Amino acid sequence: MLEVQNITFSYRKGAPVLSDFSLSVAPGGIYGLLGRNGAGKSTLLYLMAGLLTPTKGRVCFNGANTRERRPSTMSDIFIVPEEFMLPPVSLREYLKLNSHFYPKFSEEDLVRHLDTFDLTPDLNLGALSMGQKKKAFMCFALACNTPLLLLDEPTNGLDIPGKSRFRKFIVSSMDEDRTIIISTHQVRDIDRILDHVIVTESNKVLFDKSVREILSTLRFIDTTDRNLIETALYAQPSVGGANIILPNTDDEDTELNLESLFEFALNKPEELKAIFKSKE
Amino acid sequence: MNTDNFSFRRTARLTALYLSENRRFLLLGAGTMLGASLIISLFCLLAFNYTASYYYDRNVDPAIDFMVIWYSIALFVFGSVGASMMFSDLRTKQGRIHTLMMPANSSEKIISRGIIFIILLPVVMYLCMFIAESLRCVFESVIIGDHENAAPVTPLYAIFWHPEIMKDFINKTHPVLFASMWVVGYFLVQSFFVLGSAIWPKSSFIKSFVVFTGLTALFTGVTAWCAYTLCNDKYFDNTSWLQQNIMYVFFWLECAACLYNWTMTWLRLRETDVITTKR
Repeated sequence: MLEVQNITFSYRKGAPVLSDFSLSVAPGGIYGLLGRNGAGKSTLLYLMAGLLTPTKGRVCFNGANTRERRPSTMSDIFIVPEEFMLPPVSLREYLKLNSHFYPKFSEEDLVRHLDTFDLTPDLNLGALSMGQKKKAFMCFALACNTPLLLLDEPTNGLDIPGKSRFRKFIVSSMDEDRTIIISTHQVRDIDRILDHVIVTESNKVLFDKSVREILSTLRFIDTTDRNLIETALYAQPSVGGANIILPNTDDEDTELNLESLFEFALNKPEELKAIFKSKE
Repeated sequence: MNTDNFSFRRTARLTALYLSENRRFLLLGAGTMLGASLIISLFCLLAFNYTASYYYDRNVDPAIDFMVIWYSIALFVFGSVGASMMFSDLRTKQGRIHTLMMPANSSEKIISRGIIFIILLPVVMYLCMFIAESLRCVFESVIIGDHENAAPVTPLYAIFWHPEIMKDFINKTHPVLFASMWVVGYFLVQSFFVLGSAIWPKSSFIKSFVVFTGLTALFTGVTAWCAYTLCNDKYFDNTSWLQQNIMYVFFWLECAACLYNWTMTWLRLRETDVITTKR
């Protein structure tokens, strides 16, 4: 269980990025962390990983304060930042030296993940392109089997096949104890794999619901029908029509449109909250 | 499951990891040390004429004094530069994430790097000196040929098992204390640069050098001023406890300062965040 408890954090005096921010993440599932530029998504991930010290509050993972950076806690958390460092050594050597620090590391899983991206374990990390490095690093991150995996803009720098395989790659590594938090702007790369959506604004969680809950409450339709667009809870103009959000009164199955939901949460947070409250 | 207590195994693994990840940089450093050693030995080869008449009847290598000074300077310079690079990977955000996310505690991270820059570095320097000196002796012997009155050619590394040569460089009243002070002095200088490396990972050597020089100048100035103000025109009969034990006092002061610097380094690393905040 990851708990962000009343965190206040600022890089400069008087300009808090997060103010009295709280969030609870239950174990198991893929969480999408969405927010505007500068909303503090990466900062929140760093705080979760214990890489930043909050001015107030704390982040606990399974009861341990992550900022204390205890070896037992750090071996349960892996962060894949947007930019990362890989030494110019062979992947085998990298694994030989790094895998000991993660007790649940599985070489079998690594080979399987590498295969998803058409990579083999005979890689020289120093000779890879940025995208290939990212794939290799994410494979290692997943193979470490840490209960908490934090991914910051994981699809940035991946090629088109890489992005589609990324979804398969993430889903194939899931189990009920594992939590993956993905912070991204590329919502179309992840909308089909999420179990949970969190939309944040600087000092609060605007929206925090499971995908199942969202789809049982809302319907997402792409339409050109002007009447439907006018009566929708939220309409986002698209080419030749609009992506609209309607109440799901008939338990109809639709596909989640993360982009529309995100806009809805940012522009009409109170209305969105009221819809879910009335459903409860 | 990883334990939170200090683990020797984890420290050894971190050392191996650091050596592997920074292989090129460390080899380049070792190559530079070898190059400097070869330059010192080459200079001795060219500057000292062992068959010159003024060296007749000398029973010690005439280049020894020169080499002791220059190899000592080289050791201090490389030791300081090496120490100031101990946390150079913290200069980038990626490097900080890599170091801070490693499941090991701060003591293990410091000790693993200390093994490389504090313990292995003098060993590598000794090996470089051994190679350079062996080459110098071979070439010098060829140059001297079978000259009867030539001064003896002794490699510098041999002074460690020739006390009669060693005694020329060490205080005769307190040889052990003098040698200990020299060694602790070396570690003290290094500890300043290690602390500087943890505080300023970018351009660490220059910044640490400026601060260290400034502090030394300040300390010397204040001490001289205090000594002048308090002791000028006063008579001392050399029997006070402080005067008799001043070497020991300095030795323990060196040890305390060294310990202080390492403790501050540990605290600094523990408090390091991935992004510096100004609040």
